[in-house]
Amino acid sequence: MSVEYSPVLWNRQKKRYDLALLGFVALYFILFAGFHLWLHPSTSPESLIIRSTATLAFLLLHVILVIGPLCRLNAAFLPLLYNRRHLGVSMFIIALVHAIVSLIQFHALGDVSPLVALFTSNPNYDSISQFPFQIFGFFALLILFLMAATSHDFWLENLSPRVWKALHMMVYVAYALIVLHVALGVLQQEGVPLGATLLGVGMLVVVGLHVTVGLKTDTNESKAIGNAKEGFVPVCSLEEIAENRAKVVILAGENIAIFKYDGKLSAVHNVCKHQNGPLGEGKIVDGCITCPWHGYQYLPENGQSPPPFTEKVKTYDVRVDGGTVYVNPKPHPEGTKRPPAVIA
Amino acid sequence: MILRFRKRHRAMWLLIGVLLPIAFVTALLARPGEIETTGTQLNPLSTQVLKEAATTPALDAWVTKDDLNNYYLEIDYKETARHPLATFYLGPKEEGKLDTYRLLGKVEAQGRQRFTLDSLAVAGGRQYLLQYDPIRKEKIATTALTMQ
Repeated sequence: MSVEYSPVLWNRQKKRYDLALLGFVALYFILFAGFHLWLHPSTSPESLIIRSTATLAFLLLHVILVIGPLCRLNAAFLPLLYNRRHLGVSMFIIALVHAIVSLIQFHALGDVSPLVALFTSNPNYDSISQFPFQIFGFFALLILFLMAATSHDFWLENLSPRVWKALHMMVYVAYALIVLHVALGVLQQEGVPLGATLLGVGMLVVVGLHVTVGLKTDTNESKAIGNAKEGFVPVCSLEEIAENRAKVVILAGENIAIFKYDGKLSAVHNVCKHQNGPLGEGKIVDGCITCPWHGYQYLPENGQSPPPFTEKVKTYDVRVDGGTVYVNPKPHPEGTKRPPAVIA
Repeated sequence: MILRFRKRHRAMWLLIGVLLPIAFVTALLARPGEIETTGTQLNPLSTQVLKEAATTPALDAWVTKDDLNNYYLEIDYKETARHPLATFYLGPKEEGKLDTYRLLGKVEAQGRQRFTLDSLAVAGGRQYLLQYDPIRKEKIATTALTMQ
């Protein structure tokens, strides 16, 4: 479903992105091994694999988690959003290597199954410093596995976008579990101040960005509703919307994207029918609103995908008065044609 | 995101934003610290000190002898051990292959430990106490010992 993009396939952009990702992963392993062996020359290969994969997977998870809020603050980060799924699957594979090698290294020599040993070898569930931190990693990996396994569009279609999105929001729970895994694991055993500092800073950045962006959208909505006039709410000035781009506002609890194109303004529901992607973070390509995630397209006047496609989104009435853009938050049914506001 | 997910997203991050820092600080505070030792006097009934072999921030060590002329290396490990698999080895060189060292025994989490010495080690002058993790194959620390 697209004209300009090849949806969910390896187009040129994704191939370049994947190559860059592969290069970064290789470079990280080389640098990590080099520095680690320089500082600790007698480190075994198993320890090196466990430590390098752990730190890299955790670093990538931080990157994945900050892409969403960064895109809402600055559109320059959108290319990262477009490729986030590959980053997520790569992160899972690296975390899986960490888990398998750790399981073999620390739990494979007993007389019970390594997975059973993971839960039973350390019974100090009532202690903080001696807590069996591995179980946090196990459950986090389980969530990451479910996400990676269902990352393909086949699952999106079969599970429905709502269920799929709900499942993939479990990544936040996985993140919290991994922070606990690190805080009760390596930080307890090795007591490296640098590790604690990095973990604290990473947590501050991830949590801070998500909370800031969440609170910011709330504030913008309250201000806009307070100035409503004849059902139309002033949302921004005309200059705030770039040509062939959109301004996203939240009115009456719903995300609305107001697009500026060919001397006109049209507003549609900001949520793509494909995967709930943010239409307002996309752009107008060949006269169609194009979702930044997978290139699904909609005509701005009526919210309908161009034939032969059948997806439709809700539309809204827009006005321009004295350089100010007004939107009526009452939605029209999906695919309803509404006259665009003409910019004088 | 649709309204329901946006609300869920906000609620999850507010919850994580409150609970995770609390858990993080709690974990930091729970880290094992140094254990206060109750002095360095050895048990007078067991052995007599021949030589104070080492005094470092991590440990104190003495060469001792009992009434039957058995020699010992007594180690007062002042920090709580953070390597559960660490093992003490004794060897003549600071750096060298593990098979050139003599196995003394496992490092206990804290407190004073005693290891039997052979007369060659006592006569060797300078020896090196190696703390080594045999599972991870990692050297943890080396301490120079003055045996005579």
